[in-house]
This record gives sequence, structure tokens and C-alpha cells, in this order.
Amino acid sequence: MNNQKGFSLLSFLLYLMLFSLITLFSCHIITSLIIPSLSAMRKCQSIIALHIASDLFVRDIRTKRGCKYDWKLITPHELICHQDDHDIGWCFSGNRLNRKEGIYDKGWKKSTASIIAHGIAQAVFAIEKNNDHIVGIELSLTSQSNPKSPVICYVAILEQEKT
Amino acid sequence: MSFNATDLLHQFLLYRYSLHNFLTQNYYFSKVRRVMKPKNGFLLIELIVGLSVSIFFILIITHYIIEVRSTQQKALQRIESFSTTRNEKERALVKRQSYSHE
Repeated sequence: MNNQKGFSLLSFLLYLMLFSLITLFSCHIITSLIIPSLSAMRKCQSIIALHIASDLFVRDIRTKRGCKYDWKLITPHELICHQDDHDIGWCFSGNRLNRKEGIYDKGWKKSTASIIAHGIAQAVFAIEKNNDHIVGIELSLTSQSNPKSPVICYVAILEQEKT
Repeated sequence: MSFNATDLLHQFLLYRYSLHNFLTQNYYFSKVRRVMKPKNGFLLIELIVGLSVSIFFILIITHYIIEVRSTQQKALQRIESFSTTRNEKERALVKRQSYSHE
């Protein structure tokens, strides 16, 4: 009986081909499916986070509809309104959208801040006026990971303003 | 019943030893009994089976990631449609208010 050690060149080539095919297939899956899917998921998550932030903004403005309030500061990056005995502000600074609540008198004297969204490239508050009255606010949020499609939300302001 | 890593490694080495003898020396079906030799390294067939199992796991993970991505995209489409509807409703509210003033 022939006691054979090692393996033949033919079997080596066959196995090498099989290994190469399997490795090539796994690399193809990783580069063509997994990496684009992960980046798409990251973009999707950032856009959903911006929608959640815009929902919070709209809800905050809507809750003021039945109350008396006036605007203290309106700039493209900051909004502050006075309601009852405290002030509520929304501002964009340092790639974050913050909501502040406290007392504002040419600067925040006493406030608590909440980070509503981060990773924002640009946030702009645009005021719509009708006969010198503010009738609506548009908030445009642009994500750092997806700068081509900004999330835009619009909220109407009804009649109960003081001024 | 508990297993530790040493027991599992021992079982695996025993399996490899018997598989090697079965595949290479044909111990059970040969008329001539040969002396069993301990083996170092691994078989090519073991390597290819290992690679196939690993690619199977890669395929499962890929399928999971693609499912999550498609679910997220469906959710995002719904959220965007809700957001667009809300914006339109708010704009209509402003228009109605301005018409009532006029």
C-alpha cells in the first residue's frame, strides 16, 4: 500500500481556487452590501433624529397657542419668547439645537438647557409675517451627515400674542 | 451540566484525530491496519468547511443589516409624509387666518 504524504499539485490548485472563490465572495459581500448599508443606516438615523427635533419644536410652539406670550428675540439662529413668568428659547450653537428655559434679560440669567439634536450643520429659523404680525415660523435643519436634504418644518402662530 | 474551554478543546482535538484517521488512513475499511499517528496542523477539508461556515455567518449578518436598513427607510418615508402633511396643514391654518382678517 502506498503511504502517501502531502497532497498533489492538482488538489492544491483545486483547493486554492475554492478558497479564493470563497474569500472573493465574502469580500464582495462586505464591500458591496454591508458598508453601503451601514452608511445608509447612519444617514437614515440622523434624518429621523432631525424629524424628532422638529416635532419637539412644533409641539413647543403649538402649546403656546392658548396662552399669552411675546417675542423677546428673533434671529435666524435663536428664538426667545416670554410666557407667564419665564422665557423659553430655541438656539443653534456648536452644531447643536438647544432649548433653554429660564429668565432672559439681554442674556440668560438663570436657565436650564436641553440638547434637542446634535450633529447639525445648519439650523435656520425663518419668520413669516402678515401685516407686521408673525403668523408662522419655519425651521430648517440640515444634518452634517446628509447636507443635501434639509428637514423643514413649519408651524403656525395664532392670534393670542400680546403685542 | 457545565462545560469549560479545556473540555471543549479536548473534544475538538479528539474529533479531529478520528476524522483525520478516517479520511486519510481509511482505518475502518482497510484490510491492513496501520499505526495511528498524531497529526499536527489541519486538513484542507476542515479549512474549507470553516470558510464555508464563516461565509454563511457573513451572509446571515448581511441579511440582518439589509432588513434593518429597509425597515428604517420605510419608517423614514412614513415620518416624512407625516411631516409634509403637518406642514401643509399649518400653512393652510395661516392662510385661513389671513383670509379671515381680510
